[in-house]
Amino acid sequence: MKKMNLIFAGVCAAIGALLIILAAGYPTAADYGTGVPGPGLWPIVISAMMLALAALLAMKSIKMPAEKNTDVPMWNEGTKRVYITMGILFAYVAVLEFLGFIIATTVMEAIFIHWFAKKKPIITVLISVVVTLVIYCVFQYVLNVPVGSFGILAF
Amino acid sequence: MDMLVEIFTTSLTPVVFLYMLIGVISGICIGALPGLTATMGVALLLPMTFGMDAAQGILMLLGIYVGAIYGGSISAVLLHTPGTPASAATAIEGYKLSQRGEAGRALGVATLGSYIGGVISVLLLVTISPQLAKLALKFSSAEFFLLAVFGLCIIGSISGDNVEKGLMCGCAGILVATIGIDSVTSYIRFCPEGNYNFMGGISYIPIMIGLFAMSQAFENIEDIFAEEKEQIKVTNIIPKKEDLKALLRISPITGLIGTMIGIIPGAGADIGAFVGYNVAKGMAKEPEKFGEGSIEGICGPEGGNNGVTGGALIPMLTLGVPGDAVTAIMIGALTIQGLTPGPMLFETNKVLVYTIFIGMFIANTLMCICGFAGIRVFSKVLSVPKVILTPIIFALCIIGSFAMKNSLFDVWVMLIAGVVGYFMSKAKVPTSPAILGLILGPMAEKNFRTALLKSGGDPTVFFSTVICWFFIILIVGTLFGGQLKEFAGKIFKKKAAK
Repeated sequence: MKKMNLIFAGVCAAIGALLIILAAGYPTAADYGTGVPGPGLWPIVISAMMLALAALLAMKSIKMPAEKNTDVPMWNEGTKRVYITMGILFAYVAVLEFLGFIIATTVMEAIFIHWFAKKKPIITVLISVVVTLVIYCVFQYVLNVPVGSFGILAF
Repeated sequence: MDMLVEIFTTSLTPVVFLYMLIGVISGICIGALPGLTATMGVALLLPMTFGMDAAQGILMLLGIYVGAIYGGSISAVLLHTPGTPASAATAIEGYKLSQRGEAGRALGVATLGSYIGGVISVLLLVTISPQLAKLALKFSSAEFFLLAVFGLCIIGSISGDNVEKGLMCGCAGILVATIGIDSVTSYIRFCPEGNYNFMGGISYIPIMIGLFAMSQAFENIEDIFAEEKEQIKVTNIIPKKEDLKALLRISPITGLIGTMIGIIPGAGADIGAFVGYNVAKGMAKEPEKFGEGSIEGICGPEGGNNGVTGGALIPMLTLGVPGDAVTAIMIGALTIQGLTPGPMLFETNKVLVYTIFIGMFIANTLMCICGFAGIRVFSKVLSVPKVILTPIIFALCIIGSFAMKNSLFDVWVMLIAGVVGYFMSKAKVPTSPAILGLILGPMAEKNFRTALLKSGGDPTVFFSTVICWFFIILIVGTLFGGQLKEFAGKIFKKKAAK
């Protein structure tokens, strides 16, 4: 947990520092002359708070007693499955615009159902097609969400 | 009377009843499935409401909310696995009763306990909300700024042992909300050159779907091949006379406490349930039976968690401040319909507000009827395999985030939020503060700057009224209440020693 806390504090501190640098270049109250703080003040205040909290978390984590420093498994069978799933989903969203909802989603569903449910190929394809078409029809025709407006089958 | 006629003729039409019924049944199914929470259910099904009018959409979401909070008790009792975090306390006594062959009795009490808690919360919602809205009408920008700051300070107190992490997460939410065109000066903040997707700001609906639904689905993947637990048979669900006595003695009290907890921004049904469990233990005739399968140990948490549902609506409707993560999503649903939750809603959309009040009561009644009539069917939902359900959740998350603005950019936002949410959960960082930050951050900033604009830059505007001071005291109490109590305790001990 100590390592996770330090990583979280580090990421937040980096984001906070970056936003302070960016917001410092924004117009100030004097530029507007109305007494209203400029657009940079609020992000700077919040980022500074985040930096201070990150420092506090880092200090507390360094001093964390050994018995509280529980192990957070980040590389085992379960987490590896999650990382692969994330990869597949990123690839799916990347091709979604080109392939369109029906093709991309059917393939995505088929991959996951084949992997998780270990069904016969024909059953896997059948479930994937039915699930995709039901979702597609509900959103496209019942809820009027133009899911079919992009991709190679766009209309 | 005229308004009642108007509500039943224009708003609460048979179609709305049907939507509420669909919402309640979907909610119970979602809640019953371990790994699917009420927040996830509402976030996933929110896009379904885009094509509906405001009353239809909100009442369907309320049906899901009420149903899911109750539905969690089904798997808590039958599998010892709470369907939602709100049912964790019910699992303690419910499963013990199940093992003794009294699963039906436990579920019957859970159903009626949830109903009593829900109805009490509706009564308080109807009583408190109009008064609070009237008071809130007197608020100026300075008061709204301090109210938002108070809401943000609550983040610390709801983050348990992870105060710093919760506050950092809240800050991250506020910062994400600053991306795009500044509402006061129209200056464009933190936008990559030429990317128009960032200019309108990052919508919080895809972030919520990512943080609450996608990240939960990722967590489910970790143990997707785990063996499903065997189910226990459900018989004799109608509560006996002695159970009814326990229900009527405990559930209204825990319902009341749950409602009060629900009013506190960020405090959810899980807290309401555990407080309800402790209160029930204190009120129990046989507290020694707690931990061995006590009926009173089900009346308490079920009254408490469903009590939160109405309570959480009070700050949402009257102040525009979410009572919990689910009502944060409902704020989004109202905003999509072109409505702004807050005191003005009681002036401009009185019919809608009272429709929500009556709808909340109907949703609870439908939940109770469906619970008793269909408990055996709902318990079958537990046999839906995760291996099929999880890929369906992925597709719903994708299409749900796309549906709001028909934008693939939002799909990317949702996916990234899902990945971030998964790692946050690993690092034990609470995700609800991010949503509070996303909603309350812009409210705080806008009112802070508007107050200064009106006062010509004079900062004393934030200390100028009694309401301002009331909020300042609340903020100080929330931030330093623990230390003040400790300090007072030390002085008291010293004096006692002398």
